[in-house]
Amino acid sequence: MDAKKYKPRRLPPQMNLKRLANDGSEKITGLPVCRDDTARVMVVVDGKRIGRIKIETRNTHELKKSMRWTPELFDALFKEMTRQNALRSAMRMLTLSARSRSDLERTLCWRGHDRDAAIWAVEKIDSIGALDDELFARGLVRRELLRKPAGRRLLEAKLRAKGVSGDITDLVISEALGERDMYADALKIAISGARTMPDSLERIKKVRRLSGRLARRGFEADIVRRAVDEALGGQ
Amino acid sequence: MPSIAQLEKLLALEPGDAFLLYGIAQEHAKANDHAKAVEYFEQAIEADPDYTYAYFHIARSLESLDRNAEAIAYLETGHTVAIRVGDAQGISEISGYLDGLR
Repeated sequence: MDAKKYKPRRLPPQMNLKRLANDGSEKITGLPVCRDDTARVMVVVDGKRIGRIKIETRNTHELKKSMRWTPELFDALFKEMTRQNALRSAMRMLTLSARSRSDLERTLCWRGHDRDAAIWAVEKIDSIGALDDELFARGLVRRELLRKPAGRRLLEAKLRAKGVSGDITDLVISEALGERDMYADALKIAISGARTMPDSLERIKKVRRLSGRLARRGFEADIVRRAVDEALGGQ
Repeated sequence: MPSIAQLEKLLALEPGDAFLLYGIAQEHAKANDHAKAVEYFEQAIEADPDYTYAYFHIARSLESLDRNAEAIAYLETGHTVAIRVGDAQGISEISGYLDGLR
């Protein structure tokens, strides 16, 4: 994925902050409570809307109208806003689909959030127990196997791509495949594939195509060979 | 999809987040717990009265509970909101559903 090609829908807060001189000459001119979110206030500096901050943040920094907009305040609020922005995005993403820690962090960075803010947001969510890599991995493996039988290698690759650790990957895949007959699974795919091939096709080509199909589903070489042989047994 | 328990934990971080409330309601609806879904859809609408899809989906849950009169009332309100916020797809889907329910 090319991060440069991605354009975030909402401008990150620094776009607004850069519009200010930020030399200490400006003042906070308003801190109204956001109409659509009463837990936040809008910071207005010299009539320019800078961004939303939590009411807690306003209280922590003891922000008031006519307070001087100093570089120190700028830094503190900028950090807070980028963090809150990342947290909000992370929560949106998690509401739509389960994600692993690493996948969530990577996607936040890819969407233009600051790396430190992304790490902070993921840690914050993790600290309340709303992230569970093992649960996520189980769900992914279950869905994949419901869709179509798959071998260990394919499942490992899928979990690795989502940033699930090796320990969890091993545990979850062993549990999911433990009771399954891998040979029967591979044979099922091979038989269904063989049925759709024209009779006129040379056996060597059938073997190559079926082997490729099973290998792409992550089955071991030995299983692939036996399943293809049996599926094409009479031919 | 994330589990309801995970979404509830996120909600504790951001109470009153309409999107999260809507997400939790959808999960309850998927689990056929429509009474619980209605509770969360109501909270989502309260948090963001312009959330047109919440009106559509609360009506679906209410219909599943055989509370058609309430479903129609929500759809009518949702239709008005969709017109006000200029949500063309919302207007079309809500009016289609409303016609079917009446």
